[in-house]
Amino acid sequence: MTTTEHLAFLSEDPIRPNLEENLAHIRALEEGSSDLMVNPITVGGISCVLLNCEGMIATSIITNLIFWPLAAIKEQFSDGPALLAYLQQYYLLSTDRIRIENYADLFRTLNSGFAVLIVQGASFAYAFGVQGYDRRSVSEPSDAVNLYGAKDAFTETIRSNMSLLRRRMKSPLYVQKLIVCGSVSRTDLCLCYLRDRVPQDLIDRIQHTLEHAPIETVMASGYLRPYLEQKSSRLFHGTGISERPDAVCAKMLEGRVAVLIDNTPFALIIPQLFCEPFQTIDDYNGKPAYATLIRLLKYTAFLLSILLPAFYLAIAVWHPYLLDQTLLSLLAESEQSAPFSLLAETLGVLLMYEIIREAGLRLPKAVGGAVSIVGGLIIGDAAVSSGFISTPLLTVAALAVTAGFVIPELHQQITLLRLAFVITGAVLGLGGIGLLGAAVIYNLCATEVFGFPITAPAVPFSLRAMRDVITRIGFRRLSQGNFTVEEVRQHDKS
Amino acid sequence: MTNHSTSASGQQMTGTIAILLLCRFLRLICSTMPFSTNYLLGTLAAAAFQTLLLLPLMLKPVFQLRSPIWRWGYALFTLVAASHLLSRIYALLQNLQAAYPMASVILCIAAAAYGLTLSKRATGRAAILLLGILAAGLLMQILSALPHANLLLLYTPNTAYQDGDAFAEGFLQGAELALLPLCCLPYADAVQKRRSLMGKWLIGQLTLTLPVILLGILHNSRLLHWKGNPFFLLLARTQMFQAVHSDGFWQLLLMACSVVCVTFFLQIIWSPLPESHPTPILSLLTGALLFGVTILFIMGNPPMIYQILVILLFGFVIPLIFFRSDKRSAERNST
Repeated sequence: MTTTEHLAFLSEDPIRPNLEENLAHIRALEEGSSDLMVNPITVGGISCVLLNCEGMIATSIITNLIFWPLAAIKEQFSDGPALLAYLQQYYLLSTDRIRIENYADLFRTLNSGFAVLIVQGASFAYAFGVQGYDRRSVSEPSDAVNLYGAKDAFTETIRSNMSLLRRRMKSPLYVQKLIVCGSVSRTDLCLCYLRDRVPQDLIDRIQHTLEHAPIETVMASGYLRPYLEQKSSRLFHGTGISERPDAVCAKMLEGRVAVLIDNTPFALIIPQLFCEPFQTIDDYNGKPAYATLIRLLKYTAFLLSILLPAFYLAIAVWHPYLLDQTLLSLLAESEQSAPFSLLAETLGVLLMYEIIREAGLRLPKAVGGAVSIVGGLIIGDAAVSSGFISTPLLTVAALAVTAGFVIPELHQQITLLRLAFVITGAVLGLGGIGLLGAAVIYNLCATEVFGFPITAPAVPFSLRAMRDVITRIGFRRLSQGNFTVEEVRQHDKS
Repeated sequence: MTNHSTSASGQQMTGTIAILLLCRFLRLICSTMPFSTNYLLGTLAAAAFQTLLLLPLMLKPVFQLRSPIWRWGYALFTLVAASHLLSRIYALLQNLQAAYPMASVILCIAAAAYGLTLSKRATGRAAILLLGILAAGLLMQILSALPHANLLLLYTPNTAYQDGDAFAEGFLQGAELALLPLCCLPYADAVQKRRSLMGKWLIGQLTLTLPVILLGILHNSRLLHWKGNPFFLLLARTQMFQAVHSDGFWQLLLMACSVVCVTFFLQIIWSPLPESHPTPILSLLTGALLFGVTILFIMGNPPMIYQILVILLFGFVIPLIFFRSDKRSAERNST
């Protein structure tokens, strides 16, 4: 039986009225799992069992909220359903109470830190939220660092993340809808959106996609992206990720949907347009003119990062007549002493940088610094002094790589495109760069997520949305009239 | 013509217009003639011809092509037009002494075949993006050249070309595209949409022709003014492609525009067929067919007068097909 079939089987498997039979069935299904805790208790003359998962609950909470109140009940009951009805009516026990009718729900709640009360004679049970597992406290975001914005970031606990968003969105129009994904992990996901800004059909489609994703477990946001984006051959993502609650709230205000994933400190944002990685929260804290300047710099840096080494190669190899005579002679002079071809040199420098970066990234922080020193200073300096690499090429590569740091979210795409453009530029010159550029533009233009073209608002053009793309107009004007991404989709259809 | 029956959105129509303008730009760049007065007259004559052709279509409803013969004929014509354009691009690349011109043409077809597997909306969007970049480039060129602009600079330099050739080339580079608006007519199922489409096309033509004239002026002017520059002294002739040769930006844009235009042609070739969204293998086969015809063009290079005759023939025959199908469909509807 596959995991999915097993899950379907459990969904159809109801709670039995016989307590012993239930316990035997649970033990058979768990196959002696050590963390299952079975606490038999008699309440009001009825045999009950309180089940919980070790390490997932807070002992003090379960003692104060469940054990003591249950032990204090003096009334006698005729059967199990009467006891549960009494508890439901007169005892709060826990604010988070779920009625359980089948074994799929029983195990999901049990393994999520709930205490499940099964009663003799009742064909249903109650789960009480008494979670108390270890969790990381809210800390500063590790990426998308800003100067003036909030300093809190999402953690791995979905409930904490939901509260971080709710604290910023107190309107009843803001909805948080919990769903479950993953046939093995049964991971909690939370769809967050403003219901007046997102069409119901879009919510339904996203929910359907996530609930029916043929996936066993959700370890990170990257596990869900392929199902939401549908086409895996696209170079750029149609969904975004953020670990900043303030950024997510700002996106939801524009009619986007956020998906919080349990055990992941990043929220998925649907859709993400191509221009969004170029925007930061700090853009809205400074003067519009400065924000505009920074955005222009970012777009320039993006193009430089991808194209600068390719241009260098194409012009040096195929179109030297485009260079100024002084520059041309300078380049020729420095390349004369280099033993390798220009393409081999460029690829070598770029790949070496990627190796050093990857080494520095995965190592502990203390060692990572040493790698940068060895890689950047010692190897780089030695390579130039020994004549392996020419100084202009190293300058060009360093400039391109540094420019790429400006848009960390697009790092993967920048790296791949930079290498591809270098090869085409070296083989076919500027024409080759143009050809590959056309293919990339095609790929970009064909990227859609749930009908949203990511090239918007440039294509399809929307003047209202363009106010906050390359330029950033004043906040008073920007906040006039709520812009939503849905307008972009409608504009594309019109 | 299954996909023609679906109405196109405004965005798609704008995309189509953008592609047509890109084709127009490519033709201009590929021209081997000097930008002379006769060349300009030929361009204006082509614009007039297009307007005459399109105005009646703005007023009269147009229906789909129904007969398979016409559909296949139409697809064949588009194939020839695409091959002709590619052969001109190949000639341009050779003139520019670009790296591996034939490899560039093959890769251009491959990229177009890739574009064919994507949605038609993607082609339109890519064309609009490229047109935006092109417009920005043209604007920069014109602004930088304004101090040197002088109408007297529209001259005919001493070259081996005859005046008639220059006129024919000017006419041809614009006239061929007169047929292309017909490609998007079947999409326009409402009179309002069709008029808007034609209006956009005419405005686009006007806005492109003027910068083209300015470009010609500035091209000639910079050759005159910067004669002292050792690099510009290398430019002994004044063909349009020399402007591209001296500017990396246009070389870059040239190939990108070629891919979009060829994809557009391939999409038209596929559109009369029931399966309008081909698989990658079918796309490659279409690309191979296109390459075959392009090779014939590259080897054959038919005289310009024949090319113009073909254009005129198609220019007058295709609207007749549309009108006839209009009558037939009206009769069919009435019965």
